Amino acid sequence: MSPAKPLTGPRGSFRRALSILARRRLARFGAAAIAVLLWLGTFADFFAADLPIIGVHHGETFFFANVTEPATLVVETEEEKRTSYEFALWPPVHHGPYVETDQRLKPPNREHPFGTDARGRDVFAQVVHGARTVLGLAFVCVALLVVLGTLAGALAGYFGGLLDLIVARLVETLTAFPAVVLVLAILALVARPSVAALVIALSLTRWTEVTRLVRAEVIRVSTQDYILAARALGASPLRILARHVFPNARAQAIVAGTFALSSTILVEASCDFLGFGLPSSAPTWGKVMAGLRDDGHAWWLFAFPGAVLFVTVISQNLLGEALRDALDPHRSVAAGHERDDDNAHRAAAENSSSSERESAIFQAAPRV
Amino acid sequence: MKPLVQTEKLGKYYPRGGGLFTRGTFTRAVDGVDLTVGTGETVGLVGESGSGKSTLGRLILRLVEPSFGRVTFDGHEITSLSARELQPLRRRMQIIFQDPYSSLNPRMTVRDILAEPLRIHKLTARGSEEEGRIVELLKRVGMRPEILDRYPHEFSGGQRQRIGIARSLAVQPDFIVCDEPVSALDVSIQAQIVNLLLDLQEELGVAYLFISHDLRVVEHISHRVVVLYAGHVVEEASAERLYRGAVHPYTRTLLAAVPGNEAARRALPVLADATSPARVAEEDGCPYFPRCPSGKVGTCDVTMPEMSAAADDTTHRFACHFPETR
Repeated sequence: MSPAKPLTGPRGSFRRALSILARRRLARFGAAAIAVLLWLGTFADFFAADLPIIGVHHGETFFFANVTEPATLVVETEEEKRTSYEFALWPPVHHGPYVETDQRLKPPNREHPFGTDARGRDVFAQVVHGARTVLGLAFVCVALLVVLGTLAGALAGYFGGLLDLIVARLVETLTAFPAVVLVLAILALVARPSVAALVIALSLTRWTEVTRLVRAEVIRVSTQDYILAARALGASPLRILARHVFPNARAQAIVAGTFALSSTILVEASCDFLGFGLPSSAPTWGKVMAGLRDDGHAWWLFAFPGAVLFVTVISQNLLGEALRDALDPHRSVAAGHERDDDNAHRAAAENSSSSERESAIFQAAPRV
Repeated sequence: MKPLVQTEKLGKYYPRGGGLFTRGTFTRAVDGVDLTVGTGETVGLVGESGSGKSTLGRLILRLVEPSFGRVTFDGHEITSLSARELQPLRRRMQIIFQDPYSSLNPRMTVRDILAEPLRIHKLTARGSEEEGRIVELLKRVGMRPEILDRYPHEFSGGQRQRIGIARSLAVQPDFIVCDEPVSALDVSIQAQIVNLLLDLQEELGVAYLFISHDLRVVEHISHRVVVLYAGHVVEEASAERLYRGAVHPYTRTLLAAVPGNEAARRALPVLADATSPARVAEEDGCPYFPRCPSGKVGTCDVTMPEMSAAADDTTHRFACHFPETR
């Protein structure tokens, strides 16, 4: 390995964790894969769309028609699509995720690299546009559940007592149910399925892990002397929570959030596959895979979205695990490298028992 | 000397055992302690592990709520005050901890750590005034201002202890509970920290309750020494008198255990059996009776000895039915 850059930030801090992460190959792979997926999802219209990126139609030039979708350009047949432009710069795949064609259940070919589903829609377009739906949904859910879970965990852990009892039992109860069953049960409670209901249901199934980890960390942190010192200084409970407890438990929330991201995506895909997932026309990987239930031979309906789902979940778990290790101040992570810098410095300071050495440290500002 | 801190029959019982339907017992961590610390005075508090030293220190600061008894600070009865009423007094009493690794928040820079007390009590305006005060605090504990933006993990144990002391000095307290402040440090650094505490007392007139199990350090720093056993004060006297002529068998055993005190050890009639358990809470009698080499059945196991003063020195008090002769 090339000479490692020095680690920055206090042990267990987020800043330090990032510099440790940058050294780990699997973590880098995970981060890169997620970045690619986010990029695909964000710019899905540039990979697969019914309209060209730049098109000259009856002498009029349209820029980014794939995004703006002007009404005059929308045509009925494939033939028209090909012939109605004087000039056109197309995305790699000339099909959006919504338009149905008569090319039903076609295996992968030049026109449709991932094949088509039972209604003649392009699978590649659905996978790419699905990344946007799936990741967007998951990020919203995770943002919600991390806030909810951290709040519940921090309050329960710090104040203890009855509040802690209630939160802890609730977490245990919810953890006992399989997530998909729980989502189904929560969705059954609402009159009409909606995106909001799905988001809330997914969040409610996964906040427990965040709460569990944050609560345990808060309980550990609360016994530290610096909390007692803050109380002796007259700091209010709110100040202690915000300045002392939360910053030390934040790492746990981040780690739990990363894992929640992959599990939310997985649960959401399961729900879509079973047919009670996202109640909108937006494409998702689970919905494409659900096509396999009627047409078992159409392997491409499963293989491509499945592979993308697999890579997504694996990458997020790799990143989550690396993050967990890197944020753990008690675990020696980046093997030899971490010991090089601050441990050696501290050991030197500790071991030099001669008062001469100690005073040298005080007098001459130490250069580490 | 004007009393600054006074406790009256102060106690803390922790419930122990007991289920939904059964009644548990209590651990008597601190059991009716009368203690006085004068202005600018250092009182050493010694005793073995589990004798209630730290709990007593925390009770006085109301970091632990007492089960009974009173604490008076500079004439204010503080045991019944609400958190809001206690706030102005928080400025005047502080604490220094044993473990220099858990006493500083690892996520805060030295600057943040030292700014916090100033901000809580709005002692300085933010900005250059605050900065100046922080630098002054660092200098006072013998550290250079260049370290302001470093994190606690970048320092050694002794350096961290200095930062902890600076934090407690920020509010200019009259009284500091030093909860074994040097026990976790190297011997050479111990001396530096002890000398720092002594210098600060000389400059600022701050009073200390110096908790320790190291009798030599306590002798060096304290004006008076209080010996705690199983939550009870068993003997108190001026440092000089206690180290020369303790009369309570427990104190004598403690002193004999100090390395180098061979003479004291030979003078003991029988060495106490330190393996026998301390008295169970519900039993009457002297808490030290099960271990005491000079305890007598019929007296010591039935009645709790009262505090009594020595004939020649009323500040030397002890709780023993059969004190050793000086």
